[in-house]
Amino acid sequence: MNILSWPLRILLFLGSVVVFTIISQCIRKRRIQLKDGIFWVAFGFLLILVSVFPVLAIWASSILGIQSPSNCVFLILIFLLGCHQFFLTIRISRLEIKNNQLVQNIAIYRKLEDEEKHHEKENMLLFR
Amino acid sequence: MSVLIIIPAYNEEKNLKRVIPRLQQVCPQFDYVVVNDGSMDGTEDVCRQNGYPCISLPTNQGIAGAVRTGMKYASQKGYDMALQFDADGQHLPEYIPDMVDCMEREHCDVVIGSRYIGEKRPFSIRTVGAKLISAAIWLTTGKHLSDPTSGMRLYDKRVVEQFIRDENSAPEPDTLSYLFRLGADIREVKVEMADRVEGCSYLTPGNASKYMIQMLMSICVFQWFRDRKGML
Repeated sequence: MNILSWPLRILLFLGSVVVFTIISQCIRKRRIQLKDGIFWVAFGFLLILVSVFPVLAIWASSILGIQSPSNCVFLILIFLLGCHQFFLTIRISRLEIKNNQLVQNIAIYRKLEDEEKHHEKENMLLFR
Repeated sequence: MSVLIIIPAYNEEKNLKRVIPRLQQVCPQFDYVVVNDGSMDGTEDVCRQNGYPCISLPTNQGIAGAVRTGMKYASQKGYDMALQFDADGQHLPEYIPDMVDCMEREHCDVVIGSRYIGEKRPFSIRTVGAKLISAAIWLTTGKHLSDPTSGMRLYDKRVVEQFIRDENSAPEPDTLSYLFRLGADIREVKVEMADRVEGCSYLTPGNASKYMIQMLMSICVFQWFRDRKGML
């Protein structure tokens, strides 16, 4: 069947509405940084585009040689989410490294500071 | 040559009171530092009350982060060697001088305290895991280690700097195989280990299989991609 079914179009549309509401809530309550909201706004926009203009999906599926347009939609969404998750993994990994370094350095500076204080105390006693 | 004994401790208040006095008594010539890895129990209080030198991490980092913290401290203080020593009483301080002697005599980069050198390993799930890791290291580097999972290891300054430079160098067997590839000289010295008295091991069956998969993947697959320029 070379069309996008109505139930699927409605589902895609509702999906985009959900994405937009959640993301606008998060931005309003400052729960995410603006730069992180861009992906989801674009993602929601893509869902609306496909649900309103199914001809886009039909066109893409004919180019890619995928029989059913709905499969083409799924493939593109999975690909986008996969990319996003990959970059998230990199970010989390980097963040964890930075966080570890921070925690370790704080602990070492505290220790060195303690030692210095201890030294000062000893010197004071010596000079007395 | 100066040695710093690094003792990572996570919720070890009971063991520390036993282990540290013994270490002080047997090896008074070596400095040591307890790295409290964000413990929830009184590990930090025990150190303060008894005057044990202690670095306290504000959050839990895991064994690798705790050892790395100790190494950063050793590097800042200019120590020549750093020894990783368990807080749970499994490692016996009697064998530390042997390991230090070996490093001073042979000028090698790492000395591992091996339970199995020159004798057959007793059969258990644990030793099967160790054997698998040994085999993986042998297959990929051609070098033989009888006890790669031993946590009692002595590192020289060069390797300490390597650990600080490279976040992926954790005090685990995969790093030993990586160090072999970097041309490091790794020796083994015979030690005995005691059974744990207090507390429980980190190595639950779930953790153990995760650990095995991680180690084998790292030794057999990731090592091929790791950057060797500017390391060690």
